[in-house]
Amino acid sequence: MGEIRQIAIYGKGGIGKSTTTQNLTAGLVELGKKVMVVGCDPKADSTRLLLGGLAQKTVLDTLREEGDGVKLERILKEGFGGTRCVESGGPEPGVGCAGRGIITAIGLLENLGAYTEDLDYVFYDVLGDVVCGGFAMPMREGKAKEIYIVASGEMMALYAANNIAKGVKRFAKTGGVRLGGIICNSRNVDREMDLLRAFSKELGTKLLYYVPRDNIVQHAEINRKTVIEYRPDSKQAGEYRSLAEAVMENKDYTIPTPMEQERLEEILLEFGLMNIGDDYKI
Amino acid sequence: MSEVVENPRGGCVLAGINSVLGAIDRVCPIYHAGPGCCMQSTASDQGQSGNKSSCFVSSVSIPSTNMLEREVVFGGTQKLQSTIQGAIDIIDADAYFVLTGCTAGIIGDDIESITDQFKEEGHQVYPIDTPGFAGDSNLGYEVVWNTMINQVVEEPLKKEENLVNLFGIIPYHEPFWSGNLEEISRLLKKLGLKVNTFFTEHQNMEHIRTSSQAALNIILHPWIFKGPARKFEERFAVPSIRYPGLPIGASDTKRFLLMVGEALNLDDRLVNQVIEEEDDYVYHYLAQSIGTLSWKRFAVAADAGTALGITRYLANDYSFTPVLVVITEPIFRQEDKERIIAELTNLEYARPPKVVFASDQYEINKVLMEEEDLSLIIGSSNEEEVSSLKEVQFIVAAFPIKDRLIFNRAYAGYRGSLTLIEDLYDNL
Repeated sequence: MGEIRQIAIYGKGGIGKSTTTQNLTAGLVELGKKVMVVGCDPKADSTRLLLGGLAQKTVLDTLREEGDGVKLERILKEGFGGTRCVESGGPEPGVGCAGRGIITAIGLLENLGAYTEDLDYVFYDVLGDVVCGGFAMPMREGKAKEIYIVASGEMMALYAANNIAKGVKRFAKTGGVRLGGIICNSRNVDREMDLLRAFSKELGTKLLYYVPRDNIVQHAEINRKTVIEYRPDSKQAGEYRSLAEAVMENKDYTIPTPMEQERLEEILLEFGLMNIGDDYKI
Repeated sequence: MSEVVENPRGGCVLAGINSVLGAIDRVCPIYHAGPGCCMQSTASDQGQSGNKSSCFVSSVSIPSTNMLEREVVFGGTQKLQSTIQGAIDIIDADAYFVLTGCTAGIIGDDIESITDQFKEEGHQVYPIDTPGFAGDSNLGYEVVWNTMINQVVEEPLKKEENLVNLFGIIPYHEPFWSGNLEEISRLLKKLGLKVNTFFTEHQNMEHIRTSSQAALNIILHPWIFKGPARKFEERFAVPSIRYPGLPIGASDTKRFLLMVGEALNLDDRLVNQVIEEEDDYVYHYLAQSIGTLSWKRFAVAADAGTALGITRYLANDYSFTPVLVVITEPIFRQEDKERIIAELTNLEYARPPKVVFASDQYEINKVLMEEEDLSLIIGSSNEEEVSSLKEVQFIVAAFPIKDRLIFNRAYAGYRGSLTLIEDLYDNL
């Protein structure tokens, strides 16, 4: 058994990190891999598709209600194909410090022995931007060594991705964290793949995989399932399996080279994003 | 970016707030902060102020939420609520002020929603949402007064023509605060005035509540209290005069009393009569020890209020040679620096002293070491070492003061100036 590959998935809020992570996990599980998914989002919706619903009791809820004597089996639930699912959870909206909550939750998982040697992969699904130290926790102190950023051809997604890359670069020096690539969760924007390729290149990484848009993803979500579980034979299930393979086989890890705002906008201009208004039709 | 400061004088803004509240009768601070803040913030300000601390509650007896990880992650307002309730249950105070430490400030706990609940139940509980990292002890003085103006001071029901509010002498951050307030207050009373010092004579929250009835605010400080003074004027129509620093000795205190007399349109004869009486009192003593008072070339290293008072006194009344003045607190506004420099260049002495603004002890020591021809240094306990290295006479007369016990000792006013001279020639 090799070393556990610990992977953190970042990206703009609403870009599809959780959906992508869970489908990717399902793909890996099908290939016989042992995977743990750690949701690092106070909303605690990172494992819903693997568990078939939001039944999960979060680490922090358990800690709040039961005090310090938390048992691992109370917070770790088994989902699709034997996936281990944990949600860090967080404080009530508008109070406390969710960032510190992530740190507390991950620390507790370590102390409780959640990281067993039989695991092949641990995924951290982290909310939105890296807004503070807490949300950078998965890439600090030698936890996740691989980062993937989920993005699309939309401007704000790329701004966020560039910003996240700054965080990765910061911790690359001390924590040994590396960027494994960009995963495009397509929004059917014009020339999306070209733009993402150019963006990735400028960032010193590569477009790891382009996941096309397909409504079956939404159908699967409504049914609280990953696409792989919901329609194993669909084309989209195949896409996620390919993504899983791409992650498995990936060996390109780089320290990203985040862009200045001007350069980012130049790239966006080059690929026509800034001119959308010109051919706006109803 | 902030820089490293060697031997900072005082503590964070919490320390300043705590010092001021600690000087008001029967007031209880409640810390919404991590463990250690109560003790450290008391030690860093009150603990370096002539071995005198507030005694109603102080240091480890201050109620605190002692926020730990649980409060950080989930928010600490619940703990705050039980801490306030506990404080009300066991400490019989006239008012409670909830202070936020850095931890509460960073996670952004909404303390006002909690204090409001207690206010609705009729308790005097006030929030001061200024986390420790917001500034230093000096800021604490202004924060307290801004809080008072916003939440405590009431609209004036009537105006009292002979009532004045005294500001600018900062409790504990100025180790001689009690005595100085008493002496200034004594003089103002001789002018027929009623004086709100807020911190002496068991004055209390009631004096603060009705401070809007005053005819005048007197600010005895070269720069502090600009914001609160403006609010006093705008909200309660109380104007302010600023006397730049402590008035010490006959000339300086005369200038101060004339300024007050003019601002309040007091009877000139009364003002002059008081000045004459006090002059007589002071010179009557000084005349008896003329042979003792030798000439000195002196340097002062102190907060601006103390430094200006002492320099003016020794230069103007004694013709000592002012060589160097180090202003040791950070001063941010250029206008304030200019006011300080103007005071020091308008001495009745041909050559003004060199003026240095430095808060870092290394820099302070360096400029003191560089002055070769000094025979007296007046500073804080922090300057003791450099003075002994230079082998010059030294007296401790400014914050921090660690090796003296100071109850009501005063250097301000007429009588205080005699005490300063006594201390100066104490180690002959």
